[in-house]
Amino acid sequence: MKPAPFDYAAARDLDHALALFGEAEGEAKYIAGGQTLGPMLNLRLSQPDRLIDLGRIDALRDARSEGDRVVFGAGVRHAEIEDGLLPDPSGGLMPQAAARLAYRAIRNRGTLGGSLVHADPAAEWPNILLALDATVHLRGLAGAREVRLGDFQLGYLTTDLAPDEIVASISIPVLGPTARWGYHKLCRQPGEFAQSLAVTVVFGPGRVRCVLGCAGPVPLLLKAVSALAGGVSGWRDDVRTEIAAALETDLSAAGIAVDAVDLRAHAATVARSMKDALA
Amino acid sequence: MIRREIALEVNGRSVHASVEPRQSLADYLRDGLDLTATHLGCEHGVCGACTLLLDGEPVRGCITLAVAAEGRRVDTLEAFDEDPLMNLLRQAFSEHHGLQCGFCTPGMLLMARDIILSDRVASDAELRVALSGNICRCTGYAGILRAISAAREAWQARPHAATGPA
Repeated sequence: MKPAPFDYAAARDLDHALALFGEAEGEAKYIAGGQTLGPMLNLRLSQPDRLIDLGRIDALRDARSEGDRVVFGAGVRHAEIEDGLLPDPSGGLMPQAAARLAYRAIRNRGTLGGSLVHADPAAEWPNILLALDATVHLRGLAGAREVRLGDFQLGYLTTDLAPDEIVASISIPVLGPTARWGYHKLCRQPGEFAQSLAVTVVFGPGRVRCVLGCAGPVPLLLKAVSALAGGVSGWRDDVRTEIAAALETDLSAAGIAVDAVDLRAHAATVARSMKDALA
Repeated sequence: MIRREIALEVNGRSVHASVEPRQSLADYLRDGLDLTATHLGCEHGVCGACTLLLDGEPVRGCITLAVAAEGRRVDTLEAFDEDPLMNLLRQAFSEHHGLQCGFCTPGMLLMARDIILSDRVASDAELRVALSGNICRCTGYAGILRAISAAREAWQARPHAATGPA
């Protein structure tokens, strides 16, 4: 199908983008890489009156180290992360995940910020960046603010972002030299959205963040599983039973019911991510 | 009807056009410039038939807006008539049953060329993953994978291979 008609304006910088939004009549929508909004437009699931293109804003393509954090412009592309062209706060986690995110032709256009804004709980960045404890920096007509990613994702495909707001950058703490991580994505065809996706980051002794995607409306920070991982030293195969029990505790606390097949899948991806992080 | 003036480079020549903002780059190339090697399959970014190069990188032509290509360089399969690597790929696709109906072939060829030149793929297993964003409904992929492997070997074995792309 073809999109419904819309007006189009390319923004020079963030202030220009906000001005274009402010003056727009009807529904205005920002577009960056367009790898999610593009299909939604073609399928007419989204029918905005005006598109404001953020793709030409150089500041959004920047990535730099700032002290103990790396700050990514929201327009950084998955392929740039995959190719190791940018500073990496994650000790290799982000490049490895990027290489299995959709397909190269998609990764050449799709952006880090776009993925977070779309907020699909089965997508890579909302889960991985939650495990890395990222913060998003927003710009809107009312000014700038920052939100921890855990508070940004409110529900399925739903974020704290106001219609006029733009994710300007994403700030990620740099993992220390002793940090470890494990990541596992389960999907039938390479590149498709995950059936289950888990990432475990061990920041230091007793400090673990284990996140599970695909099970609920938002990426789930698994408290019981993280506590379990923080309490064991090294990996033992018999810890799988405890992981499954802790996972059920976390899902139950989040009010999420999954069937037996999905529970097995989630327990497996969580265990594999934890094994790689602890082994 | 809303229209926008755009200027871009297509297959090495400058092009000026008036397009509707909603028109995809793939539709503009086909309908505006009669460059019909770029095929449209699913039209929502899944099948890969519309793969073309934007500033040298493979992208989906069906979910790239023509207006967003303002000032950019676009290359379609038509640009590669004399390209030595593309000629190796064409020959290999012919020899190894890399196509049947041919609908997916332009996207396959452009993706295969990028895979070989980028050197991201070391094994046959990785090649399968790298090609997973391009759907073929005829061949079962085995012939396509054989063809790309054969072309890659021929490309790497060519004289002066160590000096980089010809």
